[in-house]
Amino acid sequence: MKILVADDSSTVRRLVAARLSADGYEVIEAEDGAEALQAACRELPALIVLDKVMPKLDGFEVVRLLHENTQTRTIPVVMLTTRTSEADVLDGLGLGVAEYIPKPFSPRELSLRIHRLLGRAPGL
Amino acid sequence: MTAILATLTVGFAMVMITLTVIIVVVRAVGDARRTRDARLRPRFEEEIAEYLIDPDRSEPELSDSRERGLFLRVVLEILVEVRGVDHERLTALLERMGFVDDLVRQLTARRRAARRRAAVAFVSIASESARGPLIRALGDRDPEVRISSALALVAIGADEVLPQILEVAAGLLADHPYSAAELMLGAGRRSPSMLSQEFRVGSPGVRRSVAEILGLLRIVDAADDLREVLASADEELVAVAARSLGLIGDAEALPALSGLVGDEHRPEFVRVAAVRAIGAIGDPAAGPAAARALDSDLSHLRSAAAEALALLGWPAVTAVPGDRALPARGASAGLHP
Repeated sequence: MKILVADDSSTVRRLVAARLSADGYEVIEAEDGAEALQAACRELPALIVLDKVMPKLDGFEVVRLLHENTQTRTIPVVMLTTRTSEADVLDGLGLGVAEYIPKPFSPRELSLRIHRLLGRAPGL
Repeated sequence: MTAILATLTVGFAMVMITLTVIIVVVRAVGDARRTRDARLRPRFEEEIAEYLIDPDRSEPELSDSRERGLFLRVVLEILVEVRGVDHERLTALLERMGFVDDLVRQLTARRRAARRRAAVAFVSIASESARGPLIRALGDRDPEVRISSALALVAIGADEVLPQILEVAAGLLADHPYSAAELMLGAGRRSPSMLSQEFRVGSPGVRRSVAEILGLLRIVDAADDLREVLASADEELVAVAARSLGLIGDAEALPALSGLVGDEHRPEFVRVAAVRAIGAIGDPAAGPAAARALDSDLSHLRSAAAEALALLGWPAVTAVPGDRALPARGASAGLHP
């Protein structure tokens, strides 16, 4: 099962990728919004972990474009971001973001929430 | 004369050549370091990520001080991003690998830059073992070391030194207002009662800042103290207290706030703060005081009154042309809830 992780911080990408790889997922990484969109259309991952603030295309724009594409419309998106004002969260949920996880985050919590979204038991 | 000129020319050329060589060497060394760091960074990020997943994994091996420096920088970046068990494990890792001891030593270094770097690092690391040295660093002659040490102590949860932290914050208000506010916010979250105490006894500047923080933190227990200052001659303090009472939602303050709105001896900004607080508290019964302000000569007061009435569910006031809805004078006529 593939998961796309998009964040302009290589530190965060590696952290999340290591956790998800240990959970048995195949992880694809993207370092900006444009690359995330291309990877999503190409790889059709089971889920996308997305930062809000990224170069080229921000996270909300990526979510909007994913929803316009019939092939990527149903891919659940987990927003992992420092931008967690009520307005940001409402905007994100309005666009169809499945989960909003604020930074600083717990990689373990992120892992469990992803398991839940994908309908898997933890550790499987 | 010719000989002197020739000597000067040769000397100048030697200096330029020497400078050029120095610049080239420094750049080459810098480039080599950056190349090495770029090669090592992904390895360290990978090792740290793996370490967080596998509790039995051995600690990364670092060959020299340059690697240690880079490793610490990478860990500090990760500490900013994570919380919970992973944050604790990384802090424990830094303690075991001797980084915390190194940073503690740097807290008392002669060079200010070293002390600052150490204090800033501890804000992210939040290591209990640095508690004592950080408390001593609250007395550092450099304000940035004091700020970072105080923030680190708030992060550790050193509640016993909250009075000293608030003292540091008070001392920083004039030159570092944002840092002072950040410290007060952090201290207030941990001990609202201590913040309230500071509000009672602090200097006017401190009281204004603390009044704002009390509102931001919605500390209901501070409402009595805030209400008391609504009669103060310190106009800025009154305005801040009014805003904070609005944020807290203190209905008991409505009579005093209504009085402020109608008090023509008060400056406009105080009356505006009071009417906005009335709107924020949300009791429609307080509408008449805001409605009377629609007849004021003061345009900002009229505008704020219209906004407050909208929040209270009173009928909308017709907007006038322009960028803002500035109710014309006399707009209160005929208004009722």
